[in-house]
Amino acid sequence: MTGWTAFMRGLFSRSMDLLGPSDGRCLVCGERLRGHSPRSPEELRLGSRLCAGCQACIPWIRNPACPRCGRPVFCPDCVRQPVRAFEMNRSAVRYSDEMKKWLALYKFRGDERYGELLADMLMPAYERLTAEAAAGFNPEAGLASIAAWMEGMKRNEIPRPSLMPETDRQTGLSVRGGFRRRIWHAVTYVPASRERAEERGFNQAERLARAAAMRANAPLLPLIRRLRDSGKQSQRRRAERLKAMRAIFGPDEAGLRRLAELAFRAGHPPGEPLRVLLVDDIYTTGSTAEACAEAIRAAAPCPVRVYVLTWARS
Amino acid sequence: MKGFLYACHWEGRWSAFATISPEVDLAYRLDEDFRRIVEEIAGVGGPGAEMRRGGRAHAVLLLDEPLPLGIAFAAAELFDRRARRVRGEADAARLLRACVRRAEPRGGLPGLAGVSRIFGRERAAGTVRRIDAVRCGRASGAREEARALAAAAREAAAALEGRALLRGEALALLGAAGPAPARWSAAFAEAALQLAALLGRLRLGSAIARGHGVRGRRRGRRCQRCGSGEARMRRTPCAACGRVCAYCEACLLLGRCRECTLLVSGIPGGASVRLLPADGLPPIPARLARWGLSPAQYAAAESALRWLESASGHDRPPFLLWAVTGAGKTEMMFTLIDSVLARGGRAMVATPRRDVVLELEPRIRRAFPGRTVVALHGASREKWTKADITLATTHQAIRFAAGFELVVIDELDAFPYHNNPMLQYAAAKCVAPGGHRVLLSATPPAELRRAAARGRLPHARIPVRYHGHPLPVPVELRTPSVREMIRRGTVPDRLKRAILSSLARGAQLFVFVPRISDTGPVAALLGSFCPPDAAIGHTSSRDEQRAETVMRFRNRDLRVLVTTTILERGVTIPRSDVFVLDADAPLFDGASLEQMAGRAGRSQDDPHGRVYFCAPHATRAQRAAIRQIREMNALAAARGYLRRCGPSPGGRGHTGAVPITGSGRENSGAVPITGNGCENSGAVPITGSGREKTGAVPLKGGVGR
Repeated sequence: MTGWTAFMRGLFSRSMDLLGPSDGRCLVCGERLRGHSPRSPEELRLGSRLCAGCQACIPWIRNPACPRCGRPVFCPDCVRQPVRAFEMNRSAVRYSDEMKKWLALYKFRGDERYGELLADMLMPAYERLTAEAAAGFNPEAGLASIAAWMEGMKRNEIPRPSLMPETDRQTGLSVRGGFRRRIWHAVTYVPASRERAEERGFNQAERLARAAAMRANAPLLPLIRRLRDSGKQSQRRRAERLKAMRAIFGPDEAGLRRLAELAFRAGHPPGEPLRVLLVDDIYTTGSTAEACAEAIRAAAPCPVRVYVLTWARS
Repeated sequence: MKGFLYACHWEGRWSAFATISPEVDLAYRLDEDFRRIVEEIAGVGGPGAEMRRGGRAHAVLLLDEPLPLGIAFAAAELFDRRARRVRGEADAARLLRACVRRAEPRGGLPGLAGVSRIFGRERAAGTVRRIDAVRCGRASGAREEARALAAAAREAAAALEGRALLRGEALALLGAAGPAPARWSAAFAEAALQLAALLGRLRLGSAIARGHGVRGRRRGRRCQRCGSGEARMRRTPCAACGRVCAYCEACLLLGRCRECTLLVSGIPGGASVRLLPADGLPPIPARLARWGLSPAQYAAAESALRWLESASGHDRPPFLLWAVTGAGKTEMMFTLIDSVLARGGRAMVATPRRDVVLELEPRIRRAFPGRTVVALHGASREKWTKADITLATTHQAIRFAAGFELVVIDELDAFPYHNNPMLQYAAAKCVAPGGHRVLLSATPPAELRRAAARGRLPHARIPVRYHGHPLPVPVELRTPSVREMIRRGTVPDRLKRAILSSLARGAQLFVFVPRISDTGPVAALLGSFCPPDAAIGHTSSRDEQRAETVMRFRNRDLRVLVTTTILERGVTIPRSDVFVLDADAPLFDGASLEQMAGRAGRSQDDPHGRVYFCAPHATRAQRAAIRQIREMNALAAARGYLRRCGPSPGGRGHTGAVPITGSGRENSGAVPITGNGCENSGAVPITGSGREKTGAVPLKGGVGR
């Protein structure tokens, strides 16, 4: 009898939850979310997680000043080192103190709700990188796509997904087409060392890459392996970072084999490069991205172009 | 983290155990030499200590595959519930594997297979290995090792007594991890923990475990550290165990509890025995003399001490010390701590607010020289020090279990403790078996007040402040709402007059508003008519310079502080008046209003501060707060605690000391000077002069309407 009443009560309270206003709260400040009409698709996506005030403090990178590494200001690093193993990097936000706090809550505190938020925030940068990669792959035809994006930049807007249609008319590349016409042939991520992954319980780059792979409709493949633990990057200086990065990453044979297999089965011409999207959380000096791209290109059985997508650019 | 699972025939029946260090278990179960050595050195604790003399196990059935810790512990529990039906080793091995299968999470999230592929760990079929002897133990080197391990286990058990720590925290405490050079390797520390658990000195478990309901019905998971249920669990793929496992969102701030994380709980070494009887102590009056208590404090402390030192039973209700704001709760608390420390126990003072911890620490150190005191809050360094008196925020209490003979919870109705089941669970969990809980509050929540009134809750009321003057009774002023005043840019005359008169009498003003966004505009509005020498500040929880602003207010650099409820407690300003604007706001409940009113008249020199509730209309909360304050004043008068400072009040005459402000609402222009009896006697000369300066304020009772 008591079981029955408890059951009914549970049912009732649950249905009351459905009837009442949704109990959405801002992930960052805990304020109740008010239903307001979203102004852009990004807000539509983030609006279910963040309040307007917290959305406003996201330092989106709207105008990358450096075409190579996506920095919003002039970049002496890329002047110093013009040849990189990867094609380009695009980041979603600047690594401000607020962003630092969010990432710390995710990585070190382990609040995995931030993982979904960060993945959502990555998407504008993903769209832009996709558009730029498509343009770069086929420069003449891709100019129009870039122009549309430039137009968006001038209006100081966050690039919208609508800029990148399902199939790009000029380049003929698409998100959903066959393997050959795909913009991204594979998505991969910067691996975490085993100890770090076990300590944290997750690899944040892998989580971000998973979201990007879903969006790109591309296979998520581990192409890189960590040969040894490098220690925490965030506690090193620039020169130390560059040095520490060498010989840390090696190719993941199984992942590369799978990529080659996919390309072969789809009848991809052997000389044509494969486009791989490498995802990480932060781009600081580019040493990690450089090392990973080098490892992939050195071990891949066919030419590979590596594009880097990161959540934050410091 | 992963662990191993094994079964053996132990103490006359089949049992399964989960372990983080299988070598230690094998040696303990199969090698009598090893067992004798470690039991000699480390000692055996816990219930059933005598029964352990059962001799060695015949064989151990070890499951070869490392399992996620949560699954290993859950499977061991499942096995033990069915162990009666086991006949023979083959049967036990079968059951062991069946229990692992049952303990595995069913269903799980879609994409689970993908996750395990990414982590490169396909599930292997576990095989059960039979081990009937271990080779170590005969050589003298192995004996030395056993001795070292046993000593480490003893040390670990002592260090972790009364605590509930995650693996990483426990290792940091034992010096096996963290910034300092490691004393022990992590593996050795784990072996020591495991041995201490085998000897019954510690309890190891997964930080989140599945509860089992009555009649074997499955219930949801529960965080073993903070007690949160399924609603606060979040399941995510986990790289540490390779499965989808849950973590607890509620206590994330203090490190993450996962299903596959190890939680180490100390078992008190016979705590009920540790607390000596009170017979050996000097009589209560002799002990209380040391603290210099007022008569009201003395009476309450005496009854609390009697309760504390009476025969203790398990599951006693807590004791409520219900003391008005500024009554001197802290000194009364000291008497209780003193009693417990003198009898060999340990005490914890937990409070929801960090600033209270910081404020209390030096006072406790002064009051108990020669005792170790540790203050724990989010930013404190000395996390692992063991002390006689532990001062902690209620969040930090989560890291303790059954560690204290006395737990005092100060400001129990304050945010975030009030209505937070996690913190209440944590505070209840810290009490050692046979220990005591004391609750302190000026404004206990309704259910506690009810329980006290019905005699279900032992309690003592302290209705008067330590200086013996009655509490200032709030005056209700009818004013427009804050928004309206800001919109018009003016303040009604009666409020203006009250504020100017307060400033003229040399008081500092607390101006409380319900909304953060109103603090700035209200400060500007007050600046429009206040004399230029009266500096006005404003602060709120969003204010970056909050500590600095409050400090300026304390130093009298600021005369007026516009603030939200963040300053409703804990701040003592010697000569202060209180204005609560929008007192009808739903945010201001009775307790909150009472606390704000309690900011006035706290010091000996100016015991009659003024309190105004300014609102467009009366609310139940305002009435309740005023009624409560009057009730306390009446109680104080009835018990004869009020200091006689006017003409001797007789019979109902004590109302001369309790200001009659009930009619303040009707003739709202009036600014009653609280405690006019005292004023007549010339005790507070400033109020008189203030009135004369402004000239426009009619004196309630003196002039009237």
